[in-house]
Amino acid sequence: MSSMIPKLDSRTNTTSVPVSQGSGRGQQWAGWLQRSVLPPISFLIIIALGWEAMARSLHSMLIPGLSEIALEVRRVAVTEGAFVQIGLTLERIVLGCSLAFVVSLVVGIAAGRSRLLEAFLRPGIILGLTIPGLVWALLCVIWFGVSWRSPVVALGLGVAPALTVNVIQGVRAVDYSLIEMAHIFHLKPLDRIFHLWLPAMAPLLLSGLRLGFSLAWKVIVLVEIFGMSSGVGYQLNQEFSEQNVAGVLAWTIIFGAVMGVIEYGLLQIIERRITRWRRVATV
Amino acid sequence: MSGGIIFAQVSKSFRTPRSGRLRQILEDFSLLVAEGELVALVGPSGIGKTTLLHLAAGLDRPDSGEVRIELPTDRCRVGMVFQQPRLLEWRTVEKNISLATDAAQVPREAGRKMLDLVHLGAHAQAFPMSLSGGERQRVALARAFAIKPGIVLMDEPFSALDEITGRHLRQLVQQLWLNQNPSGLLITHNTLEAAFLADRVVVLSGQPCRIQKVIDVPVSRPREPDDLRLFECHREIVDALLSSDEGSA
Repeated sequence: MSSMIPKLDSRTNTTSVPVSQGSGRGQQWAGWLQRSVLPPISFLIIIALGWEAMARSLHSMLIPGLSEIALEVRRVAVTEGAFVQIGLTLERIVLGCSLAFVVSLVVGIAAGRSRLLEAFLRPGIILGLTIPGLVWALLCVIWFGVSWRSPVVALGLGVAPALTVNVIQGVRAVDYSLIEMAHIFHLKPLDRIFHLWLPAMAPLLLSGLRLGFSLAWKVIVLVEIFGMSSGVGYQLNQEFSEQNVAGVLAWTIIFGAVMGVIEYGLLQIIERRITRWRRVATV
Repeated sequence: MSGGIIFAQVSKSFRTPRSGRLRQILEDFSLLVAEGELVALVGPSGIGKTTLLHLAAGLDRPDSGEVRIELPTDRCRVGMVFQQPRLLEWRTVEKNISLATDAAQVPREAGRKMLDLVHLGAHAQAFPMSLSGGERQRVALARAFAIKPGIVLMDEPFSALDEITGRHLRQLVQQLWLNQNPSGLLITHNTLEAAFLADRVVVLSGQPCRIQKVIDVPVSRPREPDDLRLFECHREIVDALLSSDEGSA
């Protein structure tokens, strides 16, 4: 208990209690490890251990153990050229998402500024949100066959509605007093877009992009299963037709890891870049 | 008569959002702000001062009557200072100003000079959020005056600042006015501020709003904040405000 009592300084007869202390760099690293790295890694380890326990207790062909999956991951990565296939799939995702991004930016900004236009477009957006990606995948394969247009259009149709909703919210979030300011000072149209609208909408655009990416990979795999002769979806279908559960899991793990790197790496770097003014300001 | 900002028989009404009733803010309202003159508008809240400012800025249109700017074409640019600085917080101080000067086709050098004049030259690359409230308002002042405006509109520009900061900024505005001599309107609740800055103070009252009294400030610039003649004007403004308050009570 005695350590709880503030020390009495014998000379001045005043108490001194540390209110805040600077922490060393080492301590900061330890804190970062404890907060940001340990929890997700423990989660992954627990899932892996749970899977292994299930595989061992069930002794089933359908649930391969961790070692078998690891071997498959190696086979897929080394001999099947997994990264070339993932590259193809990513290329389609980027093209499709770009299409969706441009369309939803144009439609979303217009609808965000005009309640009338939004009311007119609302059924389309709601319909777009509810139609499963599978439907777009099937239709586009029927319409465009085995060409690059199938995945791009299917992704555009699958991702644009969700992204448009975000853009509309983003437009509404722009501070009206700044729009007035831009009007009074007659800011140039391009300046208004790049220095007012886009930065003000950036947080919602970014969360829209995240959502779009996660939707995109669900749609692209379907298009590749039905209508392509390459890409992760096609490979998954191959493994499926050979009843190779470990192969299906291996492709999923590798692609999931790549998407994780993009999500945590690329998008967070973009986010830090565009919200720099906030952090610089608080230093 | 030489032009400036002219309100000629202006009427304006708004529908109140909740009850949907039509509220007449201005009816047959006329006012002339001569070239190079600064007119302060004082009066109770909600009387229509901001409406007048918005009409002059072209943010709103009158129902009837006319708001005209009669100035040489190179003096028609409007600089505005709001109660809040209204800066783009994700752009540097310098960029905030250059966006306005680019739009006004004024060389960027003018913006940098103006930043030096408001003593923020060293903060050109800072983001607005890292500045204090007074510094941000100084950026807003620099932006309004950097475009070499023929008209400056100020909507309670110093009401969110503490007394000492406000005092510094009022002197800064006086200096900028002496340098550039634009025409302008100032909305304020601070009667001493009105007396210090304006050539004429227009006291507004009633609904629809009418001119209760016009008080000339017979002191040439540069003025000293502690000039007794300004206190005299300030007292006159307060008296006019009080009598309009009694009239409506």
